[in-house]
Amino acid sequence: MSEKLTRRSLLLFFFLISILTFGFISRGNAINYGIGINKNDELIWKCKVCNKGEMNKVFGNNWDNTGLFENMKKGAKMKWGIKNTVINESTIVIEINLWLWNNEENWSIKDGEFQIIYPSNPKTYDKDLNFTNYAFLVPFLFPVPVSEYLGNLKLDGWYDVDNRVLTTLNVEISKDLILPNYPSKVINIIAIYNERGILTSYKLYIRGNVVIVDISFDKIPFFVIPALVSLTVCLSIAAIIYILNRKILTKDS
Amino acid sequence: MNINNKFIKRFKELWEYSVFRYAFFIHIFYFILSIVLFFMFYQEKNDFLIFYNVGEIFLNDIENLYNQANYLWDFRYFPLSALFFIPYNFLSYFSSFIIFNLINIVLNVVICIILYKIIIIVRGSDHEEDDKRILKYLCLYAMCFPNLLNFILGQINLYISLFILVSLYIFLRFDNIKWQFTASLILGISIVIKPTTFFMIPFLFIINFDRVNKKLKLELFKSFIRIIGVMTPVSLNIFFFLMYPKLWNGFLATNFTGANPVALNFSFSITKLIVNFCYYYNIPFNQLLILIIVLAIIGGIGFIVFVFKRVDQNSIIYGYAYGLLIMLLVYYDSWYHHLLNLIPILVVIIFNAPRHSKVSIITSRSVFFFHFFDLIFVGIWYLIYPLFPYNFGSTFFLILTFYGLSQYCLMDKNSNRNFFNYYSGEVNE
Repeated sequence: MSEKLTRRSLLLFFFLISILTFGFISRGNAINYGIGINKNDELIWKCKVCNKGEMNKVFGNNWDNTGLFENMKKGAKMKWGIKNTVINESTIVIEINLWLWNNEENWSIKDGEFQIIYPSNPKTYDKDLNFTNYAFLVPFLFPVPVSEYLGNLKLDGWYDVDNRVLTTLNVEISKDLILPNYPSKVINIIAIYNERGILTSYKLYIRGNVVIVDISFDKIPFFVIPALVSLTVCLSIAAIIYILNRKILTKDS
Repeated sequence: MNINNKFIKRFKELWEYSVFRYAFFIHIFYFILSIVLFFMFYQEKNDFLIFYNVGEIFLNDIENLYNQANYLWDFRYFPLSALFFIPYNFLSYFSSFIIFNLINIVLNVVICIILYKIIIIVRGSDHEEDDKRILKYLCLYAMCFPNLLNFILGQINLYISLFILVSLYIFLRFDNIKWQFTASLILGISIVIKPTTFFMIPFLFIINFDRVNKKLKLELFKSFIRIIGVMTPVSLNIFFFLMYPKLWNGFLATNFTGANPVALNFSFSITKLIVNFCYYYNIPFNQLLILIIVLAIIGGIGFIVFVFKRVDQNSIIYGYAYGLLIMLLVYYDSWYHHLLNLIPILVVIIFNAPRHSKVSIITSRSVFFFHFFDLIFVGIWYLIYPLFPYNFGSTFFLILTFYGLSQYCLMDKNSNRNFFNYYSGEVNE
């Protein structure tokens, strides 16, 4: 009996020691951040809602004269052509050709080009980081894995990262926060990113969750429609079988 | 025979049943898989990381308990819940995750034992006398997918389930005031740890409409003791809110008014489905107003049915079920692992309701769906959310269960035999 007990105690002891040993493993493996897009990729966004009257009130009359907002209107599309990507130890650089908002499918000559530069390690950013230098107040592209990259940024208090389901950047900017009378009202932004780090949905709200700008990535994944059709068919078949079954049962009784 | 030998003897008896062996190995597999996934992928992306950090923040920087910059995703529970996580903070992150999940296994064993004891107390007279069917349901519970997700995410639902079942067991077993208070207190502690059980509070009232004398009957003293019991731990949080007003604002924003309730996700509550609909179609909305309206409708129906119920014995089981159903249908975020709180109560109902009754059939089908199919609908949501962002599978079965319970609670047992003997023949489950 005592031998059995000793053996059991020894086993328990080793078990506990082995669990506690895990404590010496260093936490947080270094993540290698990269880019979820390739050279020559074309990224197109479509503007679904653009309430110019409200935008004038919130950002002043010149909000659509320069930057990525230039000429934005409902139904218009904007295209980014990925010219080059460079990843090294300290930075991630994306060179982009830009076609600004227009309603036609013919993109003709580009409107400009620019670079996006991210540090390879998001922790190297300063505290209270914000994106006020971006017209949309959030980036259109992030390095990948995007949820980890966003999660490790030390963002300003008005940004809240929600990584639970879809990688989402929630923004709440109070009146006069960026500049006097800019914005002139409290605004909220919900920006959702896909696993490639691309902004798939951008909604700019004013009070009462009234959407004044809605932009979405123009390409939905290939599996969405077949999956939706299959689900509809399966549910319809299940409903028909259930109804027939009920009819047979009622008849029998 | 000491308790150890008794346990081993019972284990050997159960080992004879193949379903028990499957449940045993699958449960161990869930545990191992969660540890492997944790070390390979999820060490910086799981719920346990939030709980682990909360303990430290509570000790060192309590004013920032709801400052979401401190977490990977939001901490939303009552301030006192942080106390519960402090012990884990004395261990390293990895060790505490393993110990946390080992405790989860122990909790599941204890949950099954208490669940068994409750079923034995409330089992209807027309049910099988042997325990095979009970064993089948307990094993299915151990094998269910929400358990797997609970392990992987390092979630705390099993603590809540345990507190719910212990309090229910005490309510059913002991009638005196001391025990009534104890059971309510235990339920109150579960609310402090995680507010999933919050809407159970109104169902602690011992209230019923007397159809013969046409008046409302309320056992005032007993109800009062129960409410005092459940509110005592919950109200202790008020001191923290008074001492640190910033905490109250943070708690409100995170749970009700902030951006989080608006964000698109696969929560299956009715409120979330409506919010997702408004979000998708750019319909202006107020998330708090939607929550209040849905609560008024679902909660109102549930409470009215509870008051007018015709179930005389063990009616608290149905109160518990309503409390959880209302929470899952109403609050913004209802996830698959929250079903671990509801499933044991539904299993109790399956054994309490008449064997071949409609409510028993509806509930067992819902339980089966929650065990194995809810997760499939979560997967489907990921495939179709750009065009159809609604995870409606569990919502449907929750509403179905709500309807089945309501019909059962209101039905006159003497006048409508059809409902209680839904099928005259054998029922294959």
